[in-house]
Amino acid sequence: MNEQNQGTERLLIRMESRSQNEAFARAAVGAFMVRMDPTVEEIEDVKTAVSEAVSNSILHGYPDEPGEIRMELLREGKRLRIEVTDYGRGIADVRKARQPLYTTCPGSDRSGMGFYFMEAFMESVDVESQPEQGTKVILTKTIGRR
Amino acid sequence: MEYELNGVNLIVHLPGELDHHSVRTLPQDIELLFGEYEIRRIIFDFSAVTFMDSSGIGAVLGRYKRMCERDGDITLYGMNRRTRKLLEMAGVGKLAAMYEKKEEALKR
Repeated sequence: MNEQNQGTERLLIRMESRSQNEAFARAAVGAFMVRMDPTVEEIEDVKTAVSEAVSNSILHGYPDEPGEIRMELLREGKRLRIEVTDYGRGIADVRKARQPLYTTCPGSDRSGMGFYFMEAFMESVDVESQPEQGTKVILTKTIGRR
Repeated sequence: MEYELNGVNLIVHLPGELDHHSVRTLPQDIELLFGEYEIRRIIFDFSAVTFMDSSGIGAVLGRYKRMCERDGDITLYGMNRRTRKLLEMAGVGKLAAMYEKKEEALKR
């Protein structure tokens, strides 16, 4: 593998918190990953996790007014790091929010499976959040091991 | 999203990408159809679905709960390997019959 393939690449996308942008975020991360020689399953795993993180920001970060979501994709060799940040409402109790089947919208169609899927499909999931400041979700995964 | 009535079955033809955006009108659509028709079973057609996240799971589970209240049930067909895996992870396999083909789902 040459020097260039081992290097780092970075892509930063700032988008409005509109639900149409969920598909855009998935497509962007899929295109970014192609250069990492991923398996089909790895692309599906990462797309699912990104979809969950961006949907969370849209629904829970900005429940009333649209705001800005920042998605940063970083590749370091085989390592993919994704940060999804919003500047919205924030999460008061991150530990509780990450429990499977927990939802702040009981009675709605929210399954409470979002963080569960992120954890199942990525190697690490870190959440930094402050009420009324916003939330940052950091997802990492090693791509193209096989 | 397209809806097809087949006797007392409502067949929901799901779109290619099943996420929070694409499922947002589904609950109201189905409630409206409940008002108009006698519906005993919702059959979800996954044959076009290439992507699904937890919003798709939520939409299916939400309709499952509604059909339980109405003494009905739900059936799924046409899932690809990935979609089936996510549904199984969420425990939907315990709540709903799953088939490969539409004919099998209708025969049930």
